[in-house]
Amino acid sequence: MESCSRLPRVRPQAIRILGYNVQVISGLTIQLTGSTSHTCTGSGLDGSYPYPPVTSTYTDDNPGVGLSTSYSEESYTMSASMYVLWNSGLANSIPVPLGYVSWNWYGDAKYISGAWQLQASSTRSANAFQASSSYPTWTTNYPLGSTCP
Amino acid sequence: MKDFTEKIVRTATIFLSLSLFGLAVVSGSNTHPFSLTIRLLHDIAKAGSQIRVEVVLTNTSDHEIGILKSAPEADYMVEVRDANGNMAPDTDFGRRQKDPASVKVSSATPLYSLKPGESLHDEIQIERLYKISGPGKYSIQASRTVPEEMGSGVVKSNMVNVTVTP
Repeated sequence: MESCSRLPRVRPQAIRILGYNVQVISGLTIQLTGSTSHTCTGSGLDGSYPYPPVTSTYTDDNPGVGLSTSYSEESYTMSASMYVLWNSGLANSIPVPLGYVSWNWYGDAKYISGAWQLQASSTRSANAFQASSSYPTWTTNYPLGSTCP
Repeated sequence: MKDFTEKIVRTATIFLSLSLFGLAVVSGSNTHPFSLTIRLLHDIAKAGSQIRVEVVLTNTSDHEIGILKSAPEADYMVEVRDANGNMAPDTDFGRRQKDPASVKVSSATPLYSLKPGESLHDEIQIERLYKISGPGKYSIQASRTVPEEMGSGVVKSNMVNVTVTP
């Protein structure tokens, strides 16, 4: 048996495990109904690249739209895919996609007798994580701090 | 000498007790779950240049709270007044943020959990909200709505002053 001292030395190399999230909105529609009505749409990269992390290993999303008494009904529908990418952190490395979760939600609220009421038609769903080596793509950006109209 | 020392200790104790009592009264009156503190990243700015303010939201409650974070200019309401107390004119972006007929749309909005005493840092670019073209002194104050599930209301920050030069 060889002594340990004769084993080839392996130089420990620090590898930073870097995770990224990127969210791409495939469709977003806001419908404001009142004495004047508005429809706002959007798609593309959600906010910024990468998507803001909550911790080093976790993030989430809580899309919302303000409720304004200028309207009697507001609805919001959105479908998006949250991608997970990984980067070894080694020199010249680039993030590689691991997969994504596609999800969507629809919310409808009516202003009735001085209070907003969520309608029963409101719904949401999320698919299981889909392993994939496809990169997220987008041609537009849905900026933070948007308003409708 | 001993009497003198005892007197000082007794006086200090009374002063400390009164101070703590005062502190307790102040903190007891604050039922909001978080506080806001703002800080100018530079005290002097050239007209038309960036005016950046750091805003720190601190959980002052005794339990964990969840804070949504989107665009800081949308998350916080900001008031900028000139030396005469007049509101600075809004930019188009700033006007839309205040317009009651215009609803804020938050898409990328992660939820941050803050334990008691923990803080969330953000940076507001004042020139995105207000046109500050003229030289002079301006006061800035930020506020944030307390969600209904946390008791409602509005938390206001301290006020800071910036000098804008030509």
